[in-house]
Amino acid sequence: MRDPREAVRRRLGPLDMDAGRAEEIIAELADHVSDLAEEWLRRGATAEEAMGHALSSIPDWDGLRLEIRYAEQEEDIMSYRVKALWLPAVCTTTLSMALFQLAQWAWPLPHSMWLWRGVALFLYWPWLLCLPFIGAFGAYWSRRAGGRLLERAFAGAFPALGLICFLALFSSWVLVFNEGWSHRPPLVPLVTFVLSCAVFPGLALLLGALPFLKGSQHEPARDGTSG
Amino acid sequence: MEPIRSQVKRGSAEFAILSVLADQPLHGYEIAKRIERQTQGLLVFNLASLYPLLYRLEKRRWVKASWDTSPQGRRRRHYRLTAAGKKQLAPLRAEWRLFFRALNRLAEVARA
Repeated sequence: MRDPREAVRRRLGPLDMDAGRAEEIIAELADHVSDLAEEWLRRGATAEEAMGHALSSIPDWDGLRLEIRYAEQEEDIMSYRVKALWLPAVCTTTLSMALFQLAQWAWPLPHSMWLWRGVALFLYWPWLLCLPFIGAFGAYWSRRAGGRLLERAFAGAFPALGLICFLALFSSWVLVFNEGWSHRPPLVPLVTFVLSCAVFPGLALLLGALPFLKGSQHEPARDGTSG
Repeated sequence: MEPIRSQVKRGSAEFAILSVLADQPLHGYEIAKRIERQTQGLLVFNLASLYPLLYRLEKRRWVKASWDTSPQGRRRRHYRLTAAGKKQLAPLRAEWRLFFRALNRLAEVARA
């Protein structure tokens, strides 16, 4: 009878993982193949036939190799998202908030641009000028961790995106539960606030992230779904 | 009776593995055989469908594997349910019961 371990190794091909782990998987699959071959032997097949039947119970060895790789990368996929997306995003947000506090402390009065009927656009220029550096930092970190284009942009602009999401949720909540707003929603001040605190900062962050959106790092397989 | 379609099998595969491991630690071949026997041949795991799933469950730390030597002197990789796996199994059981109850109701409506 053929050596089941060799037969499995040859059919499975390179698993692209730690050699010890790959050997362990091959040994385990070979064990299973041996058990199947023994079943066929008990049914009266010759040793050669039994091994042939056992090996042919896996019609798609390439598919099996891919499935095993995906399964082995499952944990890596999770840590990849944390490293390439959430960690830089949280850091850029923390930095941006800290700088905003600092800007408010150093320059208590923001630059105001009066737009219409007492509605003003408040801009903290020192803070806005720092934001491209924070965006660049977030995108750079994400790129180093193997982040793709959208992940780098997301990591760089997260402080503004997070605020937009928060404002959207907050506004929805107020519109639903606050009767005052249900009659007369303060749309103009809300829009200027979103422009001052989210849209312009978001653009500044993205401007800084821009140089790091180009170029590619290695991209690990991240589709952990099984068939 | 016709075997259950493969997509449904995939969805229930994790539950099937965790269920049989709840009774005792087993190696891969035994897991496949136990599931086949207990479901009277309705769920059939082959090597290709079983091991990627086992490795995934191992990564999630729902099962733990270790090499043990059988009474016949053969080294086998046995899987046992971890505390985290046991914790997952209880809600899975409830979900599947609910799912089949819902399907039964649908079947009854269709029959009526």
